[in-house]
Amino acid sequence: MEYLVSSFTTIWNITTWNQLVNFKIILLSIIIEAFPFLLLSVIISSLLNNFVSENSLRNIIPKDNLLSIIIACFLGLLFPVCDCGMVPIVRRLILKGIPLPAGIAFMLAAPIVNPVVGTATAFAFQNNSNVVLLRLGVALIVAFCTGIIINVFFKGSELKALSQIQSHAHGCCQHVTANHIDCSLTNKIFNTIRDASNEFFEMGKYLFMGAMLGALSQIVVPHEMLVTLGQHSFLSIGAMMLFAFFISVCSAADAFIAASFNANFTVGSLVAFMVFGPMIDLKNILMLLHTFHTRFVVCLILIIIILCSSAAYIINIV
Amino acid sequence: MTPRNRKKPTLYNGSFIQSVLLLGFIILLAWLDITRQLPLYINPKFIILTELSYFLLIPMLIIQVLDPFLPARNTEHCHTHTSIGKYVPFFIILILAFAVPENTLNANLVSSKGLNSQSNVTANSIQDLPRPLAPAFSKMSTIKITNLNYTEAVCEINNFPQDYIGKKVALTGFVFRSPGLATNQISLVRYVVMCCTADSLPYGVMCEGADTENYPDGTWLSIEGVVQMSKYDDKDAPTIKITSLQKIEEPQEPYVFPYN
Repeated sequence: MEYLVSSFTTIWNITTWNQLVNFKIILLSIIIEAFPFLLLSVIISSLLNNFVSENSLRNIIPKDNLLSIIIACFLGLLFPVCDCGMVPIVRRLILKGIPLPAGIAFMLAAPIVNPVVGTATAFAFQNNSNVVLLRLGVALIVAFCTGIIINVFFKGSELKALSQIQSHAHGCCQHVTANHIDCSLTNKIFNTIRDASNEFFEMGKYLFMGAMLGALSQIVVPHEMLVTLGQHSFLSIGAMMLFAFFISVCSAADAFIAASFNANFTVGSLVAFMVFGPMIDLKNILMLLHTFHTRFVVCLILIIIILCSSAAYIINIV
Repeated sequence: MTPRNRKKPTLYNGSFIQSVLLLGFIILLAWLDITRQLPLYINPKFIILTELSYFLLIPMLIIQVLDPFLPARNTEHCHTHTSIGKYVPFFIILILAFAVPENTLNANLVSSKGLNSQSNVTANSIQDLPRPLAPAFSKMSTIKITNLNYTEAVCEINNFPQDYIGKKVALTGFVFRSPGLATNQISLVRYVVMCCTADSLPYGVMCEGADTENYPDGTWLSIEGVVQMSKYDDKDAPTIKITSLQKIEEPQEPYVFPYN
């Protein structure tokens, strides 16, 4: 009896140790992979903050909201960014006067409608090139419609007030641009680096917590549970969207994961996985909640869920 | 603008903790890079980005270390409530990274990821698959499965076993037993990684041989054998009948990076 108990505890210990090792490896790999993108995005964001004035940006973007949403949907073609670092950039753009609907449309479309992700998807689905077009098409539709809906229902910037976002650069340039622009270049560079560092810790915290949850769910959610739902034309969509939300992989890599489900899952559910995942997942939902009002984030998520799943359902039944 | 809290900065303001953490991350990334462990986490073609990122951290570290001495704005607008709580995730990551020494995914993960060879691929989706290796394989006397052709070769054998029955195959992989395998059956598996190990997928082939039961899950084996049909779950399944088997150390490059 004692022997049984002790051998049982050894096995259990080995299993948990192995699980811990796997957890650490997956966690670190998500972080190492996302690290350069997070860093680049906080640097771009703080450069925007210190070197680009509100006025010059406002002159570039079109006055017409509809036109700005359409342009925002296609901006990813020029700036192939992944979803890991979108939120800080979008926050800064909105602070600099980009209208909220255009900012959100950019945030949703750019990680999917860009050359890098298109190529990766084509690679992963070599035997089914329609999937690439479906993915990009659905992403554009969802981003555009979300932009329009937000344009109708939300008027303000929906950003949390500055005092709530503590990292917010309290720069000499930021608050007084209108009055006196006497900051020297060295000062600007110092401030850029300092802002980047503060924002790295502010946003990195959420990315890292999201990565932890994502790594954990990869270890505990068994594959069989998903596969049983695979052929159902409606449930498969829900299952894949939930899966995308939890595993939080980057938009350049998720096509390969989707391709591994190719045999067991409906096409619509795979498209839903590859559209929903980059838009909303565990690692960026925390950043969203930190940046925007909770009510707005909830509405945004609901809109995206409804649009994504209905588009995927249409694909499944056509 | 919103009113600001104008407290004087203390010694323990954010810049001290941030310096420590930035230094920690620079050391972690540089250490992984110098000891060539990065391919155990990400696809080697992204290593350049990781190197870039720890070089970008260095100016941030310098600014944070110098922060108390810089004349800039912090004397006026200090960062309020620098509670240590918000840095907890960063400490957890650093502690985990340095305290857990093992750095290769083990066989435990295969069951939650799902093994490729056990999926029921439908007949018509197979017909559309490109078969780049088929002409070369039909000419070889022994099919050698290597790091470079692993994914394609394993898919080829699992999807079109009829074309290869009686062929000799040589491959390496680690042992994994799915529920339902007979005692003399194992799968030889490797993780295939696209971007980072978070998207790894186990790919494997079923093997059969008399003394396979002596090797627990996770043991690395290098085998030679002959392709034939066998039974798994009452269905026909391609198997490699082992003719020679050798236990090996875990290879330097345990993962397969396709399309590089």
